[in-house]
Amino acid sequence: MIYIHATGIHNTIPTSGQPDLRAELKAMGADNRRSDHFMRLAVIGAHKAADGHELPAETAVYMTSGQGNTAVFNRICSALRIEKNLPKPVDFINLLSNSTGFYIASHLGLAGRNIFLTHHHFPVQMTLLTAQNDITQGLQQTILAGGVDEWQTRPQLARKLMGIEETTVLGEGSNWLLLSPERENALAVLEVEKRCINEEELTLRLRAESKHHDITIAFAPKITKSQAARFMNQYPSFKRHNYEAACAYYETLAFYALNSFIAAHKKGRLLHIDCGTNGYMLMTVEIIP
Amino acid sequence: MVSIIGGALLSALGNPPRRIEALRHGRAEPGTLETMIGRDRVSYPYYRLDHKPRPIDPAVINGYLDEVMEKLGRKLALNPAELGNCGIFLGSSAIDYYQAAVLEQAVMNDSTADIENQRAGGGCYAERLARRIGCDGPCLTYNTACTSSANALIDAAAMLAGGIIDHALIFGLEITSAMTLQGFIALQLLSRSRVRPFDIKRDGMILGEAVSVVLLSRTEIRPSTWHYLSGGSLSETYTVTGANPDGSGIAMVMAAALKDAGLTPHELTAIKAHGTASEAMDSAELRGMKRVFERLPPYFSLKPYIGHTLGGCGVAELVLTMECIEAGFIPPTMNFNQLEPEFRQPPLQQARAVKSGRFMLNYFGFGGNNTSFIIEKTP
Repeated sequence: MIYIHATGIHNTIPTSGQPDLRAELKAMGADNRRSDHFMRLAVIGAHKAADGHELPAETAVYMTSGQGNTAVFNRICSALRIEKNLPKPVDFINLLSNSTGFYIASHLGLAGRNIFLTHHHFPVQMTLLTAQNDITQGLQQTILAGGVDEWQTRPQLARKLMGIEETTVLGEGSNWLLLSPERENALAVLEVEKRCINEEELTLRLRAESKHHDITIAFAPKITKSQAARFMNQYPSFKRHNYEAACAYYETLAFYALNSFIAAHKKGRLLHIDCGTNGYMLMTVEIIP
Repeated sequence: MVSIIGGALLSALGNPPRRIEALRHGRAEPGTLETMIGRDRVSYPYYRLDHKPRPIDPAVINGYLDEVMEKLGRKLALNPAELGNCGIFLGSSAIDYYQAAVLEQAVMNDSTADIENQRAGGGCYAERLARRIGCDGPCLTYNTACTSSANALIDAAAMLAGGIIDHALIFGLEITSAMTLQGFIALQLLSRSRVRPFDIKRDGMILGEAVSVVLLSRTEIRPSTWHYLSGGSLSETYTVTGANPDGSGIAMVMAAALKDAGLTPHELTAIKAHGTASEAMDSAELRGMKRVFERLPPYFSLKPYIGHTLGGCGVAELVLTMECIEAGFIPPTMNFNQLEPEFRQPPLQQARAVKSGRFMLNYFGFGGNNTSFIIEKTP
């Protein structure tokens, strides 16, 4: 169990290409040089979570992404295969996932642990599980944990890579949580299930949750509409967090689901349900009134 | 407490007897790798683990991961399926290989490419390994440049200590890619001759391939004479390409690992340095060590033996270090001749008899990512 002290939400539904973020970044006092769209997106989200907080220099950055910085990969491929040139040094460096973490740390003046990690099905849950374990173990005192996914410049190909339907609208987002073991001044309590659970265990868990008051459920995009409807019918006291209405698809949407719930509620408990080939993965957020 | 049960490695040094022979006597030579720059075919020294062609093909990488896992199973007489509550942790600087195959084709043909309608992404290799081995714990993939698999190992140890898992398989993965080679050529960081870590005449790194795995377990479940004692992982923002030249960031992470282990600097038996032979980073590393250690313990670099295996070096160099100590020695740093005048203690130049002790392993990478962990071998 760990505490959420701040959220940073940057969530957009681009209509034609990647939005230009340079003005927004400049207004935050961040350096635009050598960074690209993916990095700018990351810095903006992290800045929003850190804004108004005096972060200790040893604050760690745990970042994840579904597809990573694919635009820079495209640029390098074009240089190598079409233009027959060496990649630009800056592109090659930016291709490394943790270069983005460097720009976040640089902007916020951090010198703590800085990692980029991912998971095939549950990038958000596994990043938060790692953060939860490190805070519980006393290995970290403050962690800025976030997920970043940019709007894909080759949307049809991206949908295939993400295994989603051709009609799915793509979005982009950079959503961050400021985590610590301290309850004082916290917005909410976060708990990430340590392992996947099966259908039967999920039923038991939902039954137990139904004894609480003021339960809201958020379903990840992989939970089908019919599955979601079935859960909601079984537990009519549960409310639904319709975060989907304000966003389009990207693979770290789970961060947005949690953050938008915290931003919109002064009390209550959110149960976030996601699924992969090994079963269901649960996260709960309980607002501290 | 966390036990290190054992490891396996595929690298340019060949099988374990050949590796021990090479490391004891300081003998290894890189091969070469050709690449196209514009219309010119150029050749660079490269430590390859075999001479098979290297298309960007996930199947090739999966094949190496399976092979190294089978080697570990045989070495430890272990059926991985018996491990039960086991996590998979994979570190690589090139986790995007899986998308690369498809994206590269799409860019070249300006097409959407014909692929199966299933998700691809950086976590694919770890996910496939977990399914194949039958692990139901977390399976995480790390990309923190040259510290990737060292960071994976630190998190695996933390999850073992936290009781989330009972066992952890940590993989280091680095396979040749034209993109990586050409990126380093563009950065002008490669030597055209030899890797000379810490030598005054060093002129850059030579890249290498390695696929490696190490098994960690909770000591109460699977004891061992090897233990993971502590790890430090910090970042610095002096420059995106590495550490502050004054060595302050490097010193901080080593001090953090020592503090976490409850050790004083003089209690270390030896240090496996990062020692890439890059002009700036080797000096920063020496200055960092100078800040922490009044008198340096013996230190060595493994890069002249297998090359710089980037994100894979965390686990690959751990396996090599453990193999040397199991064989009763710590290895010399090949190709070293003379230090710069500001430094006093050279790296180890002859193999030294060591059978047990506490060893610090250091890794530093792009993005200002610094990682250091300490292991112990009891007699």
